[in-house]
Amino acid sequence: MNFNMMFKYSMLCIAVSGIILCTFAKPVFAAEDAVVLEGANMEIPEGDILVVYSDAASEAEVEAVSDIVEVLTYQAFQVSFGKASECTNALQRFKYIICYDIDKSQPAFLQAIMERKEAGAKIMIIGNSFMKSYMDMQNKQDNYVMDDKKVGKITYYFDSLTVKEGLVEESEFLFLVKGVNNQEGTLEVGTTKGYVVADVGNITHMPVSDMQNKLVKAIFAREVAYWKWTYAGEPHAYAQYIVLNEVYPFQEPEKLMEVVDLMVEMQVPFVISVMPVYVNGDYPAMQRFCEILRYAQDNGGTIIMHCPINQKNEIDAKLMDEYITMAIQYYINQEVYPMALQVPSVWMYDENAIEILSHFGTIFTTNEEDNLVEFPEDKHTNEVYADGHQWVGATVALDYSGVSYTKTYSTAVYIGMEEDSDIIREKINACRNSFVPLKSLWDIEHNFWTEEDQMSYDNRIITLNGERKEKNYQATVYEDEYDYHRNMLKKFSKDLAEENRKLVIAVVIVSSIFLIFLLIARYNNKRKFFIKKDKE
Amino acid sequence: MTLVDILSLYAIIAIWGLMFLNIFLSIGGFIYMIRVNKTDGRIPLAEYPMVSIMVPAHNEGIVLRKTVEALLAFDYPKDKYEIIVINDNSTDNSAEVLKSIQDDNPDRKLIAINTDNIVGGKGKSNALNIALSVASGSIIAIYDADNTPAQDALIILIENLMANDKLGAVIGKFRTRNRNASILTRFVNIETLAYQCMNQAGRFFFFKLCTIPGTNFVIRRSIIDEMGGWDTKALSEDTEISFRIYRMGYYIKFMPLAVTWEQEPQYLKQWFKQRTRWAKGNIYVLLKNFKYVFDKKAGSMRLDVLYYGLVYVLMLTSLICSDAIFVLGVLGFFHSTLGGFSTLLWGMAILLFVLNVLITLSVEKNEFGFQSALLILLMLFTYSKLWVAVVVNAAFLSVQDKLYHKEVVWDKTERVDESLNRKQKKKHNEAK
Repeated sequence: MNFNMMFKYSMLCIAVSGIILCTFAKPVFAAEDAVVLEGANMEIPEGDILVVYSDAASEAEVEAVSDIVEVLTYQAFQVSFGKASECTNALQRFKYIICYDIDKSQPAFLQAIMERKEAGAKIMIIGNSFMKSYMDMQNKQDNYVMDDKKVGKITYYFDSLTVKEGLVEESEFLFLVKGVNNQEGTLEVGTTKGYVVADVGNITHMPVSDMQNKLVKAIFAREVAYWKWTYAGEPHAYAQYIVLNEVYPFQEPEKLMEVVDLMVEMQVPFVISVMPVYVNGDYPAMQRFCEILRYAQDNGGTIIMHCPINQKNEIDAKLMDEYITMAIQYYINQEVYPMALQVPSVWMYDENAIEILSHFGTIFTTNEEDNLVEFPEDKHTNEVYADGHQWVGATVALDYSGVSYTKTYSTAVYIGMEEDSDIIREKINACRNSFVPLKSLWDIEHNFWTEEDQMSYDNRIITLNGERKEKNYQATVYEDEYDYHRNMLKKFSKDLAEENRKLVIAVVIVSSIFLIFLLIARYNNKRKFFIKKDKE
Repeated sequence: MTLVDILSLYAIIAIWGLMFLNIFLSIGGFIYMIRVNKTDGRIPLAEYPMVSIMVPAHNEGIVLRKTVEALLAFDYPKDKYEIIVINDNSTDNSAEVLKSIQDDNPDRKLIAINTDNIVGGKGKSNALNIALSVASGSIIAIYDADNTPAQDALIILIENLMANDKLGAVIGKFRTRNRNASILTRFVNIETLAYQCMNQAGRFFFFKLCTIPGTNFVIRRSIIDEMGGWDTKALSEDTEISFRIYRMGYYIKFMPLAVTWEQEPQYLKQWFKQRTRWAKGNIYVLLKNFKYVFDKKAGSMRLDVLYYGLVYVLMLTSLICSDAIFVLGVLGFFHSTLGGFSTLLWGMAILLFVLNVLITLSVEKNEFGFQSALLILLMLFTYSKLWVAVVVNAAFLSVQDKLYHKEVVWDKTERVDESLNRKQKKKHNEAK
């Protein structure tokens, strides 16, 4: 049992004993809890959009709801969510309702949805079985057709010139056939040709619900923005950003310089996501790294910083804050100014992580997995919305270029430093030719504060702790002989790799000597024992 | 840098340091062995001295006949050597066995001294001192009761000793007689060749240093007399006497052509007991003689004491550190953050260990082969690890003995009737 397991075990013991104590000590509170449960709808907070999902939602379905909430958060909506039984009495408070893949709807919920529809609320129904129940309840079986084939082919135009095709799987497909006043995309299921999204009055139907399917997710991200847009014309167009992802100070500076030069040469704005550094921030290697970053800052590049990697069982906001403060100081001491924080997207659901995010105006998210953070079904709202961040989400990549197909929220096209220069060039070209505009992060405002520093970027002026800072490139003056302040032990441990090389050479020499010895000994033995014997 | 890093670094430096020291000795040993193997080891003398062969025995009835018969068959002038068997407080049939051999060889000088628990039973050193009191030879030869020396072993040892006045003793090589009895005896056989034989050869080649192995050696009587006999408190009387010889200004020669075959423990329990006794003896000798490391007059012996110190202190602690870090690391308790701490390091160490042992086997007949290489690899992860347990146990028992003032007594390795082994094997083969 390692320390982490022991810690978990003791926390579990404490938690269990706490529950037992509460059960015995406070029976009155239990009665109060029961009252709260009866009025479950009270738990659904106010929001721009209510997302309702099945009471018997599977893990994958909850994950899909999490994806929906994530997309809506990027689009700056306050989202409320809950299971059908929890939301029945709350529906009346919402004008925008998304029903996600609800299979066995309760009559009361169906009735409530119908009432909301009559009252003029906009309702998006994703999936087919709930749509069927809804139509059947109104005895409108003639208004839809069904196909029990499981695979369909989507053809969807993200832009007049940008079409994407793909297969999608559902247990059955339903298409509304009467009263359809608008439809987007085509979905071919066998001989049945239907739509990907269709409006019938104030009901919007999307027969595909698999959010794991990137095409479906990208379509949803676009369609939901149009669905929510209440004004004439198109919703606001957001940009995409090219991001050199997770660049480490100890990587080859030549490679980074080569990529930066390529960006400058191709005249594209770009972002460099640097990894945090907590020690030896003034070492020559770090100075060299920061010199390239300063050069990038002065040539259309913007720097953002990746969050520290969480290695604990839960995010410790205070500790994380200390490390972020430390890392940012190392960078700003070298006149590199991170404009945003890059985090795994699931951090938006963790209350400790939200505390950390609240220090930054602009947040980039990645698809890194963090199994320790779960979608907070009990919270019923995207709490992070309250902090009003500018979000830049990872693109939903539909092809190898990773280019964005949605402009309904800001997206980041991540490029790895390990990628070949030709591939990087191709990706940049794909971004340049995309219908989603490519922008510079220097065009929008940013701010952050840590325990030590406060930074704002406004009207193209960087202000750090009340002092104006310039991002003009200044060459580093390196010390001829940098003092690493290493004691004997540190010197040796630092040089262990060098010692390894020496050892390898020594081992090769000794092994060669031994092999020669073996040959000599074998020769002598043969001469002594066999040849003599033959002579005899 | 954490404590784990510091301990890891210590283990790496110590293990690699000792490894290269061993490689250095193996290179010297190999050159010496090749040189010696080109000769027959003989330096004929005009006149051969009187030799007293002393055989301390305690309950050795099973193996005694074979040993004494081998001693009687030496290619050495029959009237120039006597055999003194000290049957020390035995409770088995050793006395009868000896009597029967005496009856069969009435013309040979075979002295059997049977002691009781008042005079005898106090260990090998005491038994040797008793034998010394009746010995008439100017040269003393010692053989353990489980040995089968080659016919020319004694004459090679004597001729080499007499050829140089500066030599206090000459030691021969001992081989494992029951090599194929068990996997343990196979390991012991490899260990004997690699770490007793090749190591001795290397130390002799470079520094004229050897340690008497307890059997198959000859020593001048005058030296024993001068040092007042054997130290009865020492369990490793061989190591103890070696150090004393160096201090007297003599040196010891290793002559690998003088071979004796001895029975090694074939069960783990016997082996553990025997090795614990050896380790206890060496710890005693090390503690007793460590002061001489700083004594310039002690001559080349200082190197040998230092060598023992390195093996027992540095190797023991570094192996414990290394194994503990490995096991606890695998269990996830902690890990080293040392930069460049790679598995390549371990791979190279294993390669060198195998090659190092292989070259010692290559100079022997029928020892070198792929099977041996596999055995060496297996030995590294099993047999070699037991050494740590042996030394830790010996250190613990040494402290216990000191606290309770325990007296040195016979701590005999149990013998096995090898004819039974052969019969069992034959039966097994027939059944197949």
